[in-house]
Amino acid sequence: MAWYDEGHEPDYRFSLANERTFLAWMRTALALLAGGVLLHQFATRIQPPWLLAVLSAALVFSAGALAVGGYLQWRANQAAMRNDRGLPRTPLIATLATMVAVLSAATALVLLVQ
Amino acid sequence: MTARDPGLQPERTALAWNRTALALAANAILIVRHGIQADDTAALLGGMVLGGLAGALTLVGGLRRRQLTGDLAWAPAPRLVLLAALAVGLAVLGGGWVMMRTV
Repeated sequence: MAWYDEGHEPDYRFSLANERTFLAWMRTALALLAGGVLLHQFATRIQPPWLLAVLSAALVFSAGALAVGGYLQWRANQAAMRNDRGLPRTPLIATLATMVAVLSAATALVLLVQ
Repeated sequence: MTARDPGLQPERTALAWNRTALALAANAILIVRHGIQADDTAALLGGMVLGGLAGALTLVGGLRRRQLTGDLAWAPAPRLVLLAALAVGLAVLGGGWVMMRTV
């Protein structure tokens, strides 16, 4: 039986809140993606070039991680609600905060040494 | 569920889908821009596909609102959510492609 057929249908408001949360994760991923592509396309004078590539790639990779993680989190939340379990932990939150902090610090350093 | 939801949940959900579609469209534009500038047909086509997906996400938002206000029969959300996740994944691949092509 597919996971979305197990258990019972939750209160639709909780399902919708979960859905909106998923979409918020997707928007965050897309914002990081745009940042990575923009950095790569327009920050052409950053030296050395490999550093720019690493920063941009890290942003794009973070976007991918959030897309996957956001979907898995949505599914885990929905299954938990369907089976009257508590919501699972969200490692995404600490992960995202760490990624943004590290990338921001790295970008600031790179800009400062130009 | 056909009673009007005073919390406006269907509307808020549709708006969330719209905002996500906009974010996806912005990335699609970036990829199309690269395709035009670098004569990269793959990026051009891929960006247009992403733009189409962004439009699809907007339609999904409208569909969800109508489902949730009882105008349409309930359809399973998991497939729609998976579609959105795949669209974002495709955008990520597109972004990576754009970057690798200009390295």
